[in-house]
Amino acid sequence: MKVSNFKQLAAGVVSSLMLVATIASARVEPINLAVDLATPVLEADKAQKAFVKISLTGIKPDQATVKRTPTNIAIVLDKSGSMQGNKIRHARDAAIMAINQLGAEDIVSVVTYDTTVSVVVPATKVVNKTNIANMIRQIQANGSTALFAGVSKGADEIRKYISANRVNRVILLSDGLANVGPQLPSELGQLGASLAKEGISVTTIGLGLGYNEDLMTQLAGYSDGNHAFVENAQDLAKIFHSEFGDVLSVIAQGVNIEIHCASGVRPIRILGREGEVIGNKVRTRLNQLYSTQEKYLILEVEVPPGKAGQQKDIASVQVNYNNMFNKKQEALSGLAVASFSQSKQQVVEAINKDVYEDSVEQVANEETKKAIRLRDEGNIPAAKAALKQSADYLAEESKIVKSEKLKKQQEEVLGDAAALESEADWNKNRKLLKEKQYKRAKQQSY
Amino acid sequence: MRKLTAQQKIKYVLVLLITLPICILSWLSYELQKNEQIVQAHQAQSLIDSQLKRVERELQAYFEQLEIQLRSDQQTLANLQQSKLTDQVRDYLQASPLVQNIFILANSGSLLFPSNNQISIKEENFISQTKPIWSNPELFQHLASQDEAQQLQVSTDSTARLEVEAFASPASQKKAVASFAPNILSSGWISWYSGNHHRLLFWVKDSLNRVIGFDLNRMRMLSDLINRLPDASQYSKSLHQSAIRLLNDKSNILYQWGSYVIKENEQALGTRYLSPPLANWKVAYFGDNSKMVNLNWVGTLTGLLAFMIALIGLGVYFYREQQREMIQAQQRVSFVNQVSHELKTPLTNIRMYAELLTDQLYEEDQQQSKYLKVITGESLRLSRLIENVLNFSRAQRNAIKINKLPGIIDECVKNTIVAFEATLHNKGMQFEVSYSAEQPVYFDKGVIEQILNNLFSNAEKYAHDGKNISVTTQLLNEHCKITVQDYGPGIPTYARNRIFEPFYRVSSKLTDGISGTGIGLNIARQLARLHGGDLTLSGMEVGTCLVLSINVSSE
Repeated sequence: MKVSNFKQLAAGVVSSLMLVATIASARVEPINLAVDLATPVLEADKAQKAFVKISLTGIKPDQATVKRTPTNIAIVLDKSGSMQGNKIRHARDAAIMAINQLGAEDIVSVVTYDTTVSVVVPATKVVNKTNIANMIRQIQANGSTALFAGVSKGADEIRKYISANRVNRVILLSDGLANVGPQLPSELGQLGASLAKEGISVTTIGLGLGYNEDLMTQLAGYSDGNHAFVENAQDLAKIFHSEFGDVLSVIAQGVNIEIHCASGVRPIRILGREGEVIGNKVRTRLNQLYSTQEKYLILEVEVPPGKAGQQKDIASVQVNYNNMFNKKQEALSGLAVASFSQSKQQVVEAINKDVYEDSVEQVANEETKKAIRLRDEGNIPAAKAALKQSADYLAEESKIVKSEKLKKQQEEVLGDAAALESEADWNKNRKLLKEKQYKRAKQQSY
Repeated sequence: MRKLTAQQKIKYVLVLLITLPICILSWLSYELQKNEQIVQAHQAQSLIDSQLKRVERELQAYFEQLEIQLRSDQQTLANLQQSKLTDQVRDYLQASPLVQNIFILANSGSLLFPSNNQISIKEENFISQTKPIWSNPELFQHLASQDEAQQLQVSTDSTARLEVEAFASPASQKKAVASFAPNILSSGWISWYSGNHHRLLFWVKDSLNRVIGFDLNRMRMLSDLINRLPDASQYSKSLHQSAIRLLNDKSNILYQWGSYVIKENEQALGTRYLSPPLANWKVAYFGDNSKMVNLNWVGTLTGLLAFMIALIGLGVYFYREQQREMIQAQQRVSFVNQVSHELKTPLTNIRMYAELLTDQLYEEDQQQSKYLKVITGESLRLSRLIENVLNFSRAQRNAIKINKLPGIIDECVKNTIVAFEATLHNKGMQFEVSYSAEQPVYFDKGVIEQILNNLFSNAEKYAHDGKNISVTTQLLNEHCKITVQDYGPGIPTYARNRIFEPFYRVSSKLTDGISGTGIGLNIARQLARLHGGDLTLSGMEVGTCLVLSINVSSE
């Protein structure tokens, strides 16, 4: 008896210890998941569209106790003939400056490309910074632009030390059109999508007015990297600084989001991001989440008519991610619930302002994408009309929720509409528009 | 044709001596170089071939690994339960960087995945694009037994036509895979086109006759292939001054490496088509192969040039030496000429006065008479010598004129003999003369005397052992023939052709110690020829027999 009593006691102690441990690990949970409807109260007896916001917010870790995630970065520099002079000089300086931000736990490689590709600094721990800087200083510009091969080799350097516990990222700088190897935006997008599956994201920095912004945004978009347009080479250092800041603040990676729409609820589209819709299921993925930064996606759904007073599950969300602090796979879940009401006023009063704003913002952002496409087709009036319509939509919606943010966006869109006009500045404006649209869709931090 | 002077001849000979070896040498080195070039080109070509083959092997190895990977993936997928299949395949696709679509066919030929209910847009597109492939079960059977590439035109319904090429996997890997995946029946590649793009699909058929088709992300595949190939810096270490390009079915450049800068529209030095499944792709080698050969040419040319300069230098040196000697010889000749001219007058005076003295001597002054005879004889000899020298230089200038006058040859011969009799007598020699040219004819008395003087003087000098000198004269129509025969040691055979050359003297014991200029016979022959005849050496058994023939007509 005594023995068995003792056993029970021991088991109790162990289990209580385990409980403490789980509580402790729960405490370092770095991500907050919120699943909300823009309009939690829906009009009764009517099929209607609704927006679900799935939001992931990184929580600022305690700097004293938590070590930041080590990085694995490949800097891929365009050194084609057009980079000669100031551009290559600033690019070299920016790269060296960025590497100086890293520490001995980080891994860096430098790849350059022109007609051919050279691995200037093979993937190495950032121990001897002077040595790395010296190798970078020897880069000279010449030749064509084998962008695809450059990214490929950069990714291959990453693979040497690839790990779910590192931030694996290619930072691509280009100032020209890819002219050796694949050069279609969709082809680079395909490569980006493939790299994303391995946990490698590609940040693309377009320098000057000669690069293909569609290609650069697709490559970044499919791999969940950042995208930036830098008109002057002297701003490169700033961008590299921001990018490295982003990279160094990664707290979770390999974020898989699965949304199950309740029966009868039909997913229409994901705004801003790529995702796969299969029946009532939606799948998407973020490569990484950063501390103190919100990343979200808006799902537009069609809700079947409901009776007044009824409560209905709209969508349940499952999130899996790799916690960079405890190196564990963790899961979160959330549920969006709507209720139905006959009173329109009740519907309006119940509006979740933040979610509503974000949903409108993303819808309008999609319109910008459409406007660019129309402008590309040479149909300036239609493009302007699309933006005008988008501005009207923003104005109307901003009134409903009394949103300053949306009003600002409306003014911005009107400015964008004016920017469509000028033939001479279109090349630059298009890059600016693309960049803006991209940043808004992906909630890029800089 | 203008006759060439000795100087010009020497010049031409020297030029020939220089140019001929150079020509031969350059021709030889050209031939050698050409052969070398062929050998080098051959070596370069085989080097290029081996380089390209290595690239092909590297790319081939990728597909071999890929096949093994995909077969093992097939194992995992094939073992899934029917109920979980759809979700699991989608999970697989979401995690696989290389495979972007999959279809699974049941043995009945119906699609197990993607199934008809709840299908994504992407899946729907894929299924409609590849309908000609998955709805054609022959594609997965036909090739199972044979390892040959097949091109099939698969037509579905009547509208869509799809170009499809199918390849069986190499037999070697089948064996390797068989051990680790025993329930795989066959596998292979299908290369097809969607839109304008070449795409690859790998299929595996298991023992239950299920077929899984893996649709590769073509950009990822290319990226992987590129990563298997060297980058520019690596390559430059192994082979510099060259570059290799990977080209797709439309000859677009997919990737390039190597330090060589390829010019636009430059022709590749070697091209190799890849083996299936990339049968339409190729690798092309570029480089500057002329550089190495050029360098060799430079070496050869410098060698040749150095040789040429050396030869020319030598030629110039010899020419100048010869020139200098010629000038010296000419100076000597002209000096001798001058001296001879100056000697002529005092000599004539000495002879004249000696003869006068002889006439005035009394019978009893034997001793003095003897002395005077010697003086006369020696002055005659000196006159002949001087005449010879002057004639020689005149002959050189072609300044001798034949002045024919009527006269009798025999008398002229007699006069000459008289002048020699005293000296010959002293040496114990004597003439045997047979005259038969008594008719008056036209000839130059001075010239004939000069010739005979030379001939007699030779006989006196070299043939005193023979005692006798036979002289015969003969008239034959317009020619007169005078034969002078001595019975001395004769002329050795090797010298016979040369005794008429100026300054040639038969070097033997006989001539040693005997003074002479070596121009006598030459002068004699020249004079004879000027006189429309010749002086020849006649074949004989003893001594020397010289035959002089001259034209004695009035012209």
